[in-house]
Amino acid sequence: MQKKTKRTVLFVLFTVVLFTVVLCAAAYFAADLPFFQYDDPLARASLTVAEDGEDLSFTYENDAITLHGASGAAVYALTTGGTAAIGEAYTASLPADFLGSFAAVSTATEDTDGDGTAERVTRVAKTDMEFTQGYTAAANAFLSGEIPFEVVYTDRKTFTLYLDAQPLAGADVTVTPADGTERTVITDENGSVEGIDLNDVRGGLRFTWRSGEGDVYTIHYQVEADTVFTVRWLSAMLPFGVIVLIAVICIAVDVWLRKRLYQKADMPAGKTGVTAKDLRKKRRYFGFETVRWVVMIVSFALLVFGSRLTGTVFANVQLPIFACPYNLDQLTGAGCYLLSHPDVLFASSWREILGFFGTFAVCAVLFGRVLCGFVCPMGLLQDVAHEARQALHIEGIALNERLYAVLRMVKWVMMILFLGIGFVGGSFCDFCPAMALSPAFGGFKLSLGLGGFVTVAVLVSGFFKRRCFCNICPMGFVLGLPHKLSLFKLKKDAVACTECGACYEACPMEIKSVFTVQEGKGDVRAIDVTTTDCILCGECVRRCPENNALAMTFCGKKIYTADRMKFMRDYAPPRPKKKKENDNE
Amino acid sequence: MSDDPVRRQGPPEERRRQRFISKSSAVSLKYLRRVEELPHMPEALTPFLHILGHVFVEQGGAVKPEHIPTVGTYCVMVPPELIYAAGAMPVKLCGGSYTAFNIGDDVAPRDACPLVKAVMGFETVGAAPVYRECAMIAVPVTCDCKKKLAGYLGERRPTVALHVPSGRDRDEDMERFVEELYAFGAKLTELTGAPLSYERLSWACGLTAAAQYELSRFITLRRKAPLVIKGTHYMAAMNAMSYTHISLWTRHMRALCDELEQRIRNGEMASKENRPRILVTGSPIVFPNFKLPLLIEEMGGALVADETCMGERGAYDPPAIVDQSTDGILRALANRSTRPCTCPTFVDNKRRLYRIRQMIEDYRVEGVIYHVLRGCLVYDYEYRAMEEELGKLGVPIIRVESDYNEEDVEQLRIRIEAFVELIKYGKR
Repeated sequence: MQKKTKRTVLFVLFTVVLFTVVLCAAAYFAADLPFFQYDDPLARASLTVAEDGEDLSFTYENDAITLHGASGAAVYALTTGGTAAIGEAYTASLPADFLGSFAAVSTATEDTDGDGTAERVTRVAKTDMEFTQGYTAAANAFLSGEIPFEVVYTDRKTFTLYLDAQPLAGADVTVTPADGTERTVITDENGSVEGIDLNDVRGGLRFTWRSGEGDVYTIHYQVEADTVFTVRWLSAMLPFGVIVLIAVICIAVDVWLRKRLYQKADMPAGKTGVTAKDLRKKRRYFGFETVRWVVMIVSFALLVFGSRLTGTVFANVQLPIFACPYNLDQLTGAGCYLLSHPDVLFASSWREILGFFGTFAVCAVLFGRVLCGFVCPMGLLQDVAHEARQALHIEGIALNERLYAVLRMVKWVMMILFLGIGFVGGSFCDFCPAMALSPAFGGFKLSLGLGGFVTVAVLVSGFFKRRCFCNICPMGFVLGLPHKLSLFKLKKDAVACTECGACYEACPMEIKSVFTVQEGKGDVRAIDVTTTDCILCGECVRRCPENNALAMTFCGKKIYTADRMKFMRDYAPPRPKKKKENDNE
Repeated sequence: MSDDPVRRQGPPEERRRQRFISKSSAVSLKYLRRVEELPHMPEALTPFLHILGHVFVEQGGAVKPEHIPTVGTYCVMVPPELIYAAGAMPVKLCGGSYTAFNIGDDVAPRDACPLVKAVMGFETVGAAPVYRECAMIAVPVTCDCKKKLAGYLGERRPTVALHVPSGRDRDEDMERFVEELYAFGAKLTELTGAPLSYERLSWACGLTAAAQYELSRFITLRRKAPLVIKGTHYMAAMNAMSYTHISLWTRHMRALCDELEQRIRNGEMASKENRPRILVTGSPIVFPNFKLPLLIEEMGGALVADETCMGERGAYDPPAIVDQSTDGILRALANRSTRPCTCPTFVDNKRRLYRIRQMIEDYRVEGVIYHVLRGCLVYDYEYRAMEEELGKLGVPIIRVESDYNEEDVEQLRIRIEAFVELIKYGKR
């Protein structure tokens, strides 16, 4: 007995040590493994200083930055060595030690308000290239004596104002967006202003503050211009295109190899068919499946471009799905970031922590893994891959219990990486396949590390096995844990069920219990067969040929029920005669 | 007793054959008449009876387009889709002939079931073109009798034995059955020369699914109370499926459904409201062994549903093709052929009980007749569990054991009459 306990303790200790070592190694390597590297934006960017008499401001034309109204202005750049004055323009590229933020300062004595006395006017222009070029949690700040008045875009909701590098607290500041409407806001004790729309920030903002002595300070702030649906957007899509290309090549090679293998092994007929045309006419019906596809596509578009419609209204919501928050134009944040970065989570304010856990709890109870089946962009990507295979009639890989057990192991490894890597100084984002998807569609140039390779694996595996990644997704598993509380449920009528196994074949998550369960708590006619893995995609209900055998329920009400005639209607005979009769009437 | 043509032409053999043919035709004709004489026969049923008449009375071959080879099958575990895809046509050879049973009695051991004895009788005599014309025979190894039958047929004909798993929950078993189907497909390709491509399989699945669509329609109509069609008529239609090309059967079935819909609209029902509603389950009821359904309806019962493999179950479960590829279709076929099957040859029997429970509810069944062919052990085993389950539901059940001869008809008549009266009395 004692020996056994000793052994168990040793085993646990060994496992923990092993995991730690693996985690550290993974964290170390994953960060340095490049898949696709964008060259330094500074190497492409150029800076022109134009004395054209316009207001002091920066504008962007692709990679070319122009400073307007520069006559008499001092131009500064933020470098690794601090603020540096720059005299000349950089027509070809910017020096490597630049950090991508520029400022220009000009002072004058003018009468701006027309009261007859001239005030000292300080005009500043500032720009941050990083906003769509790379990701930093907070934008750059000069905070030096050369720039007397400065705004810093701290996060996507807050601006902080500084006067002579000190926070400007309790000041009335006029904010003028590009459309010319004026608004007065008061800074708080930290010198911060909230509630400025992300859409206004894109167009360029002007902050004006009049000091008690009558001095006027204005700053024009410009982030890198909107790049969606331009040539630059296409270039941001490049890594994703590369991923798709590699995935297609992998799939083609795989199909070819399988064909050779089957021929060599002299397998019986059928297993070699690569592509085929379906001779039967396909009929399309509006159904649950249609709703799911529409929701998936709309939510993808909203998640990637949604902030263009609503600004940062929903920015506090942290949806627990893999829609990469590296894309700053997201409608909402993604819960995965904070969950896998405990250091960031616990360093943030209690309001944010509460918001995160609150959203998570609400999502888990209201939707559960419905989010996986309907909202997650990674799910859409895999479903598209699966549909491509269906259209080509290429044979997939049918998982049996043994293979699925292997996949479950991978899930636990992902789980440990997801929750644990933050503690050893790594980042799950280095592994995350979602990094290649939403940011690319949002026009966000993101260099990819190991995650790029993982995305290729996700696409290839998703092609041969529907929603393969969802089976190992740590986020989804965490979301599925409280499924007993969730309002969406899958119910089975064990009496009506003939246990034909169609649901098991159809299930992208390989949930076998749906068809094998014969008795459960309570009524055998409404057994709750929802499991942690169930993403409530409705495939099992769609493929169920028995009336009422399977049903999806919301708050106990059936919203989608299996129906034999619906199942069979693909094979209904064409009835042109009846139509004609109706026409005659 | 062999297939040797020289011996068969010998006068005693030939005489025996002629005697066999005329006798079995006479029995078949008698039962066909009795089916026809039942009141409320829909007109659209006539083609089905013609098919049965063509095969059993006129001793013709399967009803099909010319130059399509036929493949004989036993049990519902042989997917017809595979055979249609290969350009052949399946014929269900489970025999119900009393005449053939008498001959098979000499060949098979005493305790073998009459169905297998009838099949062996046909094989021995070498009569009935439906059996003779089969280019290949597929026998799923379901029960002991079928196992030995596969061996017996294998000595005389090109025969494929399909190994059916005895449990259905393990994925490995399922995958082995998929391999069996692949091997069967290869044999079919050897026979017809048509490879099992996705196109052909998909087309064949479309063919059978169209039939299943009509059958589903038919089942929906049948659930209406009171009865729209006599159970015996329904059994005849389902039996005819075994000897017809599926596209022809689909056409006849569509016409039948249309007529029944019309009858419902006109309020013409096939039975009165208060007839005891009876379900038959158990061993297969194969034409011409129609004594049980005929007796039920002649004794005033309404045969509302059946759960036998030559009846509803024969084509009830559609394949759910999830993966649109060759492998996907074969997996779907393998799944469909074994997993939902309520055949008691499998280890577990819970789902069979549930199935009956569901049918009792769907068809508002008031009594269950459990048909056991003498020697059909697996069905006999399940009777006890079924009795217990139905006892809980309060639905009466009787076990009716019978053989392929007419000696027990009177005894059966008394028991069924009593059972029908019991239900009637219980209702009052």
